[in-house]
Amino acid sequence: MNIKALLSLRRGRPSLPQPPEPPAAAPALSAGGARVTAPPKMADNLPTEFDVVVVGTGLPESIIAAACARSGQRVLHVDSRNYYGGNWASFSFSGLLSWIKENQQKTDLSDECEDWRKLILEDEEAIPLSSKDKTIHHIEDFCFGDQDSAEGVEEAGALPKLPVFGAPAAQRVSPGSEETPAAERVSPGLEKENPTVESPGEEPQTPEPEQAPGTEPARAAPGAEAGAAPGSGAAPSTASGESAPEPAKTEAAPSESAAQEPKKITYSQIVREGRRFNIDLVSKLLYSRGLLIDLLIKSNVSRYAEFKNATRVLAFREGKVEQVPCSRADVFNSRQLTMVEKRMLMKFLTFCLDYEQHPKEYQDYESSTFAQFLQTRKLTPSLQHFILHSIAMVSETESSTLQGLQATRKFLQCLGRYGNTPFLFPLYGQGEIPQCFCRLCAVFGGIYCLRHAVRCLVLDRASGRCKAIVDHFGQRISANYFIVEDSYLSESTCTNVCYRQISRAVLITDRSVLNTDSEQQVSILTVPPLEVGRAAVCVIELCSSTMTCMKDTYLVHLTCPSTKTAREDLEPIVQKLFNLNTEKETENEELEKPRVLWAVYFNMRDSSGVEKSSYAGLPSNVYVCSAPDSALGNDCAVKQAETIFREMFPAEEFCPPSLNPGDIIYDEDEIEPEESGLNNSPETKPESSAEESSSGDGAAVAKEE
Amino acid sequence: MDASKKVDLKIIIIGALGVGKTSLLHQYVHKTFYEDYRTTLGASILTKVLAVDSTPLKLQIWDTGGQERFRSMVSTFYKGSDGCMLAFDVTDRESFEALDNWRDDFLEKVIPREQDFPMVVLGNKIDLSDRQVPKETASAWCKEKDIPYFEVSAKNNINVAEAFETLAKQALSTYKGIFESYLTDSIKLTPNDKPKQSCC
Repeated sequence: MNIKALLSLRRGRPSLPQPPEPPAAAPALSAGGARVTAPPKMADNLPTEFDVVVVGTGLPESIIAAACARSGQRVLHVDSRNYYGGNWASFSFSGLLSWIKENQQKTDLSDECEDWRKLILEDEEAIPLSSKDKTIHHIEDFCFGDQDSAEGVEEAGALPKLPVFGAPAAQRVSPGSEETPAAERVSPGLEKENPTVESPGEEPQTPEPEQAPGTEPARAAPGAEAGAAPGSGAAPSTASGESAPEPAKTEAAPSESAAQEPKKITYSQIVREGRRFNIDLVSKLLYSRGLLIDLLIKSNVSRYAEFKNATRVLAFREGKVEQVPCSRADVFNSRQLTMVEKRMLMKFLTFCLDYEQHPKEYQDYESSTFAQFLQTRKLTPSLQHFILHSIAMVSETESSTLQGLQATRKFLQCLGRYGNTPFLFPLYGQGEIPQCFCRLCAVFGGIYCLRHAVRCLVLDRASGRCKAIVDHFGQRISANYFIVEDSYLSESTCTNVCYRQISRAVLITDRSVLNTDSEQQVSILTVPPLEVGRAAVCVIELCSSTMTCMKDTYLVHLTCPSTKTAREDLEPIVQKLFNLNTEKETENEELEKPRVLWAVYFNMRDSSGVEKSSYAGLPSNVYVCSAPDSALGNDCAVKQAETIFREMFPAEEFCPPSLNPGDIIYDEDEIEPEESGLNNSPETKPESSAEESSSGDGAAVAKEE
Repeated sequence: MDASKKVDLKIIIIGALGVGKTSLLHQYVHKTFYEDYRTTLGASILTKVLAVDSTPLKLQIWDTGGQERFRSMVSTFYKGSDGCMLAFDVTDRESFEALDNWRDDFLEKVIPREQDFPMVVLGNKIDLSDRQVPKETASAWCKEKDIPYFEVSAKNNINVAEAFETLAKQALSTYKGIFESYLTDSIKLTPNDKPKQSCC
């Protein structure tokens, strides 16, 4: 069977949306060969009819978009911003600074043009959408390093742009150009600043605030770049000298021997290495047996991402950070627990794993709190703390025994699937996940337009259904279903909606909160409420191998449901865990704590759990997706996506495995038509069997001639 | 570098809509070509296993998924890429002129390296006669940027493998240069992993 036949097997897919014929098209039959249909040019016009229009590229709506495209719907997926993810996005350092600036500005767009109203017909009604995002408040950012030293320092760009062919050199300025004027950089053979010529044996100079024009930027920063194996510095620089001065590169091996002390990272280094940061607006982890992981695997979207294990579960008790032993191995190996404690803990956790089989153990406490129940279980106070705050992660005052037991069990069941903790973290950050679903949607024909705002929904008066949107170009686009992320809705539509808030903080630090032998740890720490009435704070510390921060730094995320402003909610915890003083003023005690180099606090609106009926005047074929919730996992988003999808298309399967024809075929003779027996499909073989030619993702055996 | 361990490299292929990116991929990986044009047929990532300098390589080649149509590529597409293939259509001048934008776009999105990022340029559809971009023009542009240039035809399978293999070689040598060991132990989720025993 050939590929064409297989293509026709693709589930439920009507004909692909054919690109519109460009005006001048004539199927060209020329001497050189026939082209059946002329492909569209770049400045293609957007089709104006779809089955589903999705506004916003956050997680729930991206999952829906993927599910719809997968089941054969024609999907248009737009976002008003120039990046994916909305409030689920992640940014480079400079990207985050821009985001902060944008959200701190209170621009008033009330005088916005309403020309689109002219496009609404007599028998129609319009529901305007909001043009300004109002979901982020109380942003405060702080730089604890020497910010002035970063004056004039720019983010290390990739290769400098060479002149557009034919254009004079002076016009081109590369993003990475430190201070040197463009013209200078362009000339080939600009040897003086070329660090690639240096040998690896070079000692790094102590990092100094780099800036002043003309300063040699190259050497340096032990913290910068590299990770480069020894020998990289000696790699022959490209002869043409075009690999121009990348500041703060190389210097491999020496930096490793440079110290056991924390490398002294400066703010200007952070700026320069800004692209190494992927800072999430939302801080979450994936439960190894959670809805999101299951969905990623089932739909094969997992092939677009990679993950790291969360390596440690931590607790904060009596002013100190401690590691919580959670797996059997951890417990046995723990040097903090006494033998007695080890047995107590194992016994309790074993019970939790199938607590329902032992109702007698807890039924007397069903109306108590879990904290109270724990007190009756022959557990030391520290064990109770670990279980309540770091394993079950439930409220001491609010959560019932059953809730605590369920939460504990969920944690335990997730242990060991991929590693020693229940959690995974996506390489490059949480912001990757919505994008992975968008990619699946695109691959099945979904059309993507960033920078594409929607002005209003158009309703048919008679039926009350939504029939189209009007976009910011004044274009009407019709569809049967509309998915709109909450922040796009206008204030009047959301008048009756009760929102909660999430308090967030992101810190760049120089050391881990708990130093052990290995620096590359991904840790989750739950800090119990410091006062009654406050919320527990979830702290996630990411090391550089998660590709979210530069080497020798850590990215720390703090999250809690808001009581006050983010800074009021979180700064007290930051002060307990970290050293916020600038270098000069540290007390001895503070020296133990990691130093914060940079921090931002912000409140993010939480529209999760809002009933659709709270939104005023929305037709039945318009669905609303929520912003991120404050829980650790992603269940909320996945459940919402699935619920909405099933309402729209009850007969369709939700994100079935994608039989990508390109992936299956590795030897034409062996293809069987019924490859819908998905478990047998080669693409589902475990990645680890890398030696087999049929492994993973479409291993086309190299049939070398 | 342990020669027995297969090296995974991520390659991305970018360029204007309709230049033949997907066809090039299919020609290289599956040795097939379809006459009728369809926006990326659901091909997303194709894998090719080959050996370069006796190092076994697994090339994971990412197609755009059609998102280039309105310049809305997910950044996931770029992350972690080891090499980039820039493609244009020799019978479409605009697609050649757009190369600058595509290249800049790419360089802006990846983490900068000290060496040139592995890149090749493919001028596709040389089997057609209504050429708009002379070979010399394209070569000159590429020479200036120090990027290898290949005139190819996905349809007639001209030079396709050479182009990919050159890129693979470049990517491999750069990869060896900046090998960051902690990156190798990331987890790839697969449907058939056998859940281990729970720890309690």
